[in-house]
Order: sequence, then C-alpha cells, then structure tokens
Amino acid sequence: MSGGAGPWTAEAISRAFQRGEASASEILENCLSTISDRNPAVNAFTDVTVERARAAAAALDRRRRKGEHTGPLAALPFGVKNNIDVAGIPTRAGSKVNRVAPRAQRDATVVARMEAAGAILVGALNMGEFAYDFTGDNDHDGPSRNPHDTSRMSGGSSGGCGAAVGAGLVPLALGTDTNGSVRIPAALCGTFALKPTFGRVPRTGTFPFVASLDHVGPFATSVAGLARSFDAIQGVCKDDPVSVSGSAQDTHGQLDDGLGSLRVAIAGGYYREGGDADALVAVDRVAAALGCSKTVIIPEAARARAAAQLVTAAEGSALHLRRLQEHGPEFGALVRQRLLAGLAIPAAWVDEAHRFRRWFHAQLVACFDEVDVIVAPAAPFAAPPLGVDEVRVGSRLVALRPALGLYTQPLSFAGVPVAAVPVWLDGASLPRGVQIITAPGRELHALRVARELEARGIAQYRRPALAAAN
Amino acid sequence: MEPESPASPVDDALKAMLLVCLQLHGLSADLDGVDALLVHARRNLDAHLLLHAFEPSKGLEPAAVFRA
Repeated sequence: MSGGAGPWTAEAISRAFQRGEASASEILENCLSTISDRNPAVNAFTDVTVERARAAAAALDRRRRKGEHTGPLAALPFGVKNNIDVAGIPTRAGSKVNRVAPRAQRDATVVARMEAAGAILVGALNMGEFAYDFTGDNDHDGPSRNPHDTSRMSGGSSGGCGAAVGAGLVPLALGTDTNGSVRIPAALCGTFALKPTFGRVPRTGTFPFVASLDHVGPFATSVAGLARSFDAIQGVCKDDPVSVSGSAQDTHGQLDDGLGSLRVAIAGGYYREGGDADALVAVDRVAAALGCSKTVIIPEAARARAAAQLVTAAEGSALHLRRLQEHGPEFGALVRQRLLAGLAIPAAWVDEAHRFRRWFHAQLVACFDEVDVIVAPAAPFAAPPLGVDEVRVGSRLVALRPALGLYTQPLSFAGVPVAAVPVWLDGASLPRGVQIITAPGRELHALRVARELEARGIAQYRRPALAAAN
Repeated sequence: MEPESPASPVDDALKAMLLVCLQLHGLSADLDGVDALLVHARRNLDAHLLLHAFEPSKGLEPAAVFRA
C-alpha cells in the first residue's frame, strides 16, 4: 500500500486493516501521500487535517491491538465538503466572506458519526461558493477539476468531493445536495453517491444554503463504501428540525440480496428530453441490464424544477441578506447576482412553489405504487470544459449552469432518495451518471440496484491515471 | 424555460422591482449593473409563470391541490 497505488475501495482497505495487513497509520500515510501527489492536479482539498488524522489512526491501532471493536468504517479515510463543520478549521462554504469567521468549535453530527464508526477525517474539500453552483468552479479557491480530464469541470457544488473520490485521493467523502450538488459531481467525476431521503441524514453543524431543500450525502468509490457511510450517518438528530425519526437501516448487510422482486422502470417524458444522446444511452444500458422495459412518467417534473429554482433563490437570498449588505464585494459576481435577484421574488411566488411541492411529492410517491425503482439520467451531458457558459446539446446551444440541474432538481425538490452510479460507454473518456430513484425511506432499494449494476460491471468506478505533482 | 415572458415592458418592470427591493434592503445594483441582475430576475419570472400556469391533472380538485 505504498506510492499511492494501493487499493481504493472501502472494502479493500477495510479488509487490509481487519486482517492486520496494514495498520490504520499505514493506510493513512498512504492516503496523505496520495493527496500530496495528486491533489494539485484536481484542487479537491482546501485543508488537510494531518495531525488530527494521525491521532485518530494511532488511536484506532491501539484499540485493535487491545482487541477492541474498531467500527464498520475502521481506518477508512474521508473528506468533507467545507460547508460541513470540522472543529478547528473555518467553515468557509467556498466563500471569501466566511474566511474571517471563527473556526468551528465542534464537528458536524455527520463527521462525529463517521468517526464514531472508525473512519478517519483527512480534510475539507473545495466547493462552489455557498453551494450555489453546479460547475465546481470557485472564484476564491480556484475550480476543483475533473480527475478524468483536468481541463474539465468536476460539477458542483460538491466539486471537491467528486474530484477527491474520483481521483482516488480518498475512498469516501461527504457532500451536500440542494438541487443536485451530490449527484452532478458524482456523475461528472465517475463516482458512486447517494442523496438520501430528505431529513434522513441530519444537517446539524452544516452551513445551510436552502434549509427546506438541503441534504447531506456520501460519495464513494464503491457501493459497499456508500452503504457503510450511509449506515453510519443516517438517523434522527434533535438539533435538525427536519430530521425524521425511525429506526436506522442496515443497508450494507443487505446489499447483496440482488434485485429480487424489485420492479424497475425508466423515467420517460421529461427525462428523455433535454440531454445529449449518450445520457440516454447510459440509462438504457442500465435499464437493459436490469431487465426493465416499463416506462414511468414523473408528472410535472419541469414545474417541479421551476418551483425548486424559486425556493432556492428566495431562501438563499434571505439567508445571505446580511452578508450581502456587509460584504457584497467579497462575493463571486455570479453568486452575488443570483442572490440579489432572489431578493425581488415575491413571497406569494415562494408560497405557491411550496404548495406545488406538496402536490408533486404526492404524485412522485404514487409512482412507486407501480414500481420500486426508476432509472434516469443524472446529468444531461458529460463534464464540460472549464470556463464555458454554454454547451451544445444536439443542435441546440444551452446555458450551461441551469442545464446541469435539469434531471436532479425535481427529485431533491420532492426529497426522494437517489443513488448516482457511474457508467462508462464504449470508448468514452468521460463517465456518465445514472440516477437510481426510489420511494422515501427506501435507500436500500437504490443501493441494492446500484450494487447489482456494479457486480455486473455496468456501473463502475475507474481510478484515473493522474499525473503526480513534481 | 417555457413559457417565455414578454420582452421589454416586463424587463422594465423587473428592473424597477429589482432596484426598489435592493434599496429597501439597503443594497444597490452598482457592483454588477442592473442588466446583469435582470438575467436572473427573468429566469425567476419564467419559473413563476410556468408554475403559475399549472393546471391540475384531470380529476384533481384545484382546492385540494393548493390546500395549504
């Protein structure tokens, strides 16, 4: 496990640790060396918490020597998007404004839960400013870059998560998803990811964007890693007002149950339009592998996206009003412009959007009377070049930023769980992402389907051959 | 995003609304220029128009759909 070429799935690292083939400290040093070599190419990490990580690894090694339980995520390095509190470093949330904010006093609940399960935090990750971004670009820290082509976008706003896991710097990361910010970078960077049911994973200790839409979700190089991470972070937290009660699921233990009697359908209508041909080829490949021929129409998805846009702009603007008043020039121009424009949205429009959300949620949930799983594209095109504002989709030139959220926004608006899986089409140099959508609380169904696709080689994490820094 | 809102008169109204809202919040459009903000305000308006034109599916009572 030296030279940064070691095993990069959670299972392989766990196995090495549990069998005594590698200590937690050795695994960590290998990870830190890999970050040192590879991070300059992808600009994923903004902070590396070396001393904290070394202390955690040493403690794990001591516990193992004593024969104590070390946890289901023992010795697995992970990073977190920098809108998730890590004690001792500022939660900048990708902004310049928050750089002078006091350092976080304590860890976010999800960080504490990952560490309680034995995972080792190695640092904070680059992100779009205040999470208002689909590209992974950042005016203050520079863009996180796509590990499969560093001249291209990572996707956002959890761009550092996609870049870090995609590049094999860490096997696991935690990001946040308001309109697609976990699923889009996962799709563009070729990782597995999960946006859980709204309220299933607490946001306590995270810097909000749109409190009525924000989710925390994991990225991983494997479905098993994804399931282990979800199992660790899920569950009620009294300090998050939208946290849902209910017993935690053991998804990892049931991952290999296969498809069983799960009924799978392709999302039709809206989800067959607006993307390029390969977005649909990837979905069709997944559908064929799952033996699915049924199509389901998710009703009024375009309006759900419109409603999500209004809620996002209005709530985000209200959240940042004081910062805009006191630190306006310190915002990136695009983010500031969106937030200022959001201040002019009438309350009646936002109220209507929330009422529509309830209707849409009920309609989408009703789709799961007929099927258990719906497959749909995650992003309408592969990772675009950095710096472009428009992309060509078929014969049309479309505005890049809004288009990236085309397929993800309606689903986070409804709050249903979605796994994103990476699919490599023949001869492709960039991955495509496919969303595996299930009913609220049914993350296990999405993860079982993802695992089946991974086992058959349809969904696949590929670690790129990035050039090391000199 | 469909339906497109009409052109210039709406833009003028949006600009006025933007400037008033910003002023009420102690802000201005000086850093970016009101035309840069207008692009985003138009998108918000288009989203609203699309949503507002929603006709409930057959068999659904509007009152039920929109009951708070």
